[in-house]
Amino acid sequence: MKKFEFVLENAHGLHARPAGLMVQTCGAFVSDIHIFKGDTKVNGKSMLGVLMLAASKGDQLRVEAEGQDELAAIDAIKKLVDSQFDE
Amino acid sequence: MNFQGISTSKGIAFGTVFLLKKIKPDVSFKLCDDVELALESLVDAVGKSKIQLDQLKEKTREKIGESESRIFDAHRLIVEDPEFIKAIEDVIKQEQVAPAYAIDKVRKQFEALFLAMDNDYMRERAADINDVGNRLIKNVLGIEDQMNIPDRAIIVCEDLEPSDTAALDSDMIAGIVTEKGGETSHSAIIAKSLSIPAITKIKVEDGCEIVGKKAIIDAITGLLIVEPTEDELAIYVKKKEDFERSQDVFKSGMYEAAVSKDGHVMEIAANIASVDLLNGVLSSGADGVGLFRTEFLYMNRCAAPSLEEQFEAYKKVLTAFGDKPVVIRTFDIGGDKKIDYLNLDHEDNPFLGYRAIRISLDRVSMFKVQIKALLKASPFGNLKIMFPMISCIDEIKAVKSIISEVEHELKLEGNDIGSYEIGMMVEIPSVVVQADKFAKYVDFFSIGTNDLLQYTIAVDRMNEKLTHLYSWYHPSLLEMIKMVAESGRRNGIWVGICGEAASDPALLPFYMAVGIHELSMSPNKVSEVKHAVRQMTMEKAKAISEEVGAFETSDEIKQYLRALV
Repeated sequence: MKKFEFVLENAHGLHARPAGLMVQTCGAFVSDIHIFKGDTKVNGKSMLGVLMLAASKGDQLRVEAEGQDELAAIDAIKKLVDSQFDE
Repeated sequence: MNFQGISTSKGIAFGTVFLLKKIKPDVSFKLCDDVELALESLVDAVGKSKIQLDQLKEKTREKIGESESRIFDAHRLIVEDPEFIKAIEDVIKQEQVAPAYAIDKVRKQFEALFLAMDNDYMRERAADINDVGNRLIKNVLGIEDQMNIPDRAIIVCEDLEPSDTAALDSDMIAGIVTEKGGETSHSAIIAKSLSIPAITKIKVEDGCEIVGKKAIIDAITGLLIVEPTEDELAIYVKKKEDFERSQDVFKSGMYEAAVSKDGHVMEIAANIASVDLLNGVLSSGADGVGLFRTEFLYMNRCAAPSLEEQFEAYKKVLTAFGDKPVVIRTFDIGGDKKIDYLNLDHEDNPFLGYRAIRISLDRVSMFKVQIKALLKASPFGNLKIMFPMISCIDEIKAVKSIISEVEHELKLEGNDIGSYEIGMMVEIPSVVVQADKFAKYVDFFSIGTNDLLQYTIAVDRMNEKLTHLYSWYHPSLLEMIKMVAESGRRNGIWVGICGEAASDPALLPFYMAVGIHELSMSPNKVSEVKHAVRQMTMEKAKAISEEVGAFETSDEIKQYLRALV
């Protein structure tokens, strides 16, 4: 299992568009991917799940990937976060 | 083939008959015989929905723009959301139920989760889930949407609800023909504000062969002529020209104040239901807005509009009218205007029930958001805040204390507050009787004739068996208007009328004589009523009003006044 933690920098948090990008990125891998905010855990491939995190700027999030392509998945998500979701 | 009905929005138009059928998908509890088959039909519906959403996105991107089209990306992600689909599959498997029921159940669960969130943006996402759920349900049941109306359509339907306006492209509509509703129904109000000819009380049987046929809608006499002859067409081309010319006469001088021959000014304002209709109101020549119905901001969505959204809407209308008065009425929800997310209980008697200010004073936090948005918008124009359905002094006192509380909070936060007036609707007989007492608490009264009439004569205006009783020439209604006007004068506050009766030129002399200051009406009536004011003198108006006072029945008054116009 691979993990990665980050602080959300987007001004408007994980609203529909960045949440969509996150879901699309996770969906490209076969590994199980989960996102955590505090005690809340959601499926990274679920749009409603990611939206339900209601993550806003400054929130600490954790991503966990488990499966054959977990390394590649974490790399891709890191890239997305570093680009601040292209915003 | 001709159909005779009653005109509710004057005009003549030529077009093609289009039957608008509103299908409510059946999501009732149903067991399913074959779970495998049910799961397959869900997969098919998801596939179909994805294709539709891609097409919608493309269409929106071409017609409107890239950023507006992105909402369909989000919808697409929801429709293929593994958690969402899995939850639906689980319900089908565990409860052995039909897919439509399962989708509806899961959609409601997710909607509730989002509605409970402590964030306006996320609460609004519930609308997206609702939309996507509807699409899936329709696809799983094989129901085709038919809101794609052809150009120059004469829409024939049972009735149009307020929510239908958003879905229909008004540029494509030539005319509206409904089975239900009278001159004061929502479809009539909508048609008038869009200046679309409309007729009601025409029933078109199922399978009737008029669909797709050419037709003339004559909403002056209330006639729908299907497959007109050459002669009829020629006659109506001429009639249409004459009608439009007569409208032009009214329109000369439309932007100037309405002053009678002997110098009495009557303020002629317009009603507005949506910021989208602002241009129509501005070009009507109205002297201001006499009634901004804010409940429309609360409709067709999953959560109440945010402070910011409301502020922008109010600011836009106030700015557009500059120093002209804009009367904004706080939400009048309940009665015939239902809103899902408020979870209002079913009532046997909604017009005497939990509605308007009664909801506001019960759900104070929602009401405060509206007051806050209004006060924040106050520096941008000539704001007058009005409250609906006030029935006792306690209510107006409670409202005023909420306003001062919110104003105080806003000032502490460093906001500028402009000057504004506070007024109330007079639509319940108890207020008429106690008008002098209410007048001490407000800056103006606005008489809502539709409700005041139905509460005074105990006639439900939607009841088609009672239309003969529902007449705004009723002597009791006129007497009440007079009482309120006199109370206003005694107490130094202005009095307006914002019901449908305000736009009746036959009643204008009476309004002038009793001292009504402002009349607010559908925008397409403004120039006609201004024209009527200019033909009148106070002396003549007083003589007419005196005659009116001597009659005993609605019909006598109606006959007398209509003969003078």
